[in-house]
Amino acid sequence: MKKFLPVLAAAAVLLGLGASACIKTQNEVDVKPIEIKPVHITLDINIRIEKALDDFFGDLDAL
Amino acid sequence: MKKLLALSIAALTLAFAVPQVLSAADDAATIKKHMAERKPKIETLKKAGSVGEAKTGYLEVMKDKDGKEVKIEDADKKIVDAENADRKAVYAAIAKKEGSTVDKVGELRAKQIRSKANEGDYIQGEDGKWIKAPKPAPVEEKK
Repeated sequence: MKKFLPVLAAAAVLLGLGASACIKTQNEVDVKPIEIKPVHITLDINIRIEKALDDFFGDLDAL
Repeated sequence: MKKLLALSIAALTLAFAVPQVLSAADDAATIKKHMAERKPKIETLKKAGSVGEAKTGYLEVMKDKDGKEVKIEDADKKIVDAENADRKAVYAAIAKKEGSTVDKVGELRAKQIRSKANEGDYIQGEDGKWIKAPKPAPVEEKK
């Protein structure tokens, strides 16, 4: 029995290597579209409004 | 005949003495021109404490402790009304362009006005309370 142990171990290693070569894994990463929260849209609009106000009233405020 | 002559002279005098008050339908350049013409008088009214800048982005005649509006000249009231009408036209144009509301644009303009207010002018905070504008913070020089 002891004589066969190295042989058995080698066979087990070879079997494992063979099995891993046969086993295919596939990973899929789901990429969800970026969700823009409403608060970001509001901030963007406010910035544009402030700029429009600056464009119109800028020189008036400087008087 | 004398009365008619006196009335005519008075009407002509008013026409030249009072700054032209045009409708809010005027284009942007005309509105700006009229706002520039009205500005000195509006600044005087603000300095006197008769008129303040509301949180809505419009001028308001100040009220006394009893809640009654302080007395201002009719001509000055017309100037305030004309200024507010022009401001509303500008806010409406910006609101339409940016997909917002006139009220929102007015609120944002009020915020700008508060930050630039002269010391002592009445300004209304977002909480609705009227205060006198503080001394503007000194601009730090970059070293």
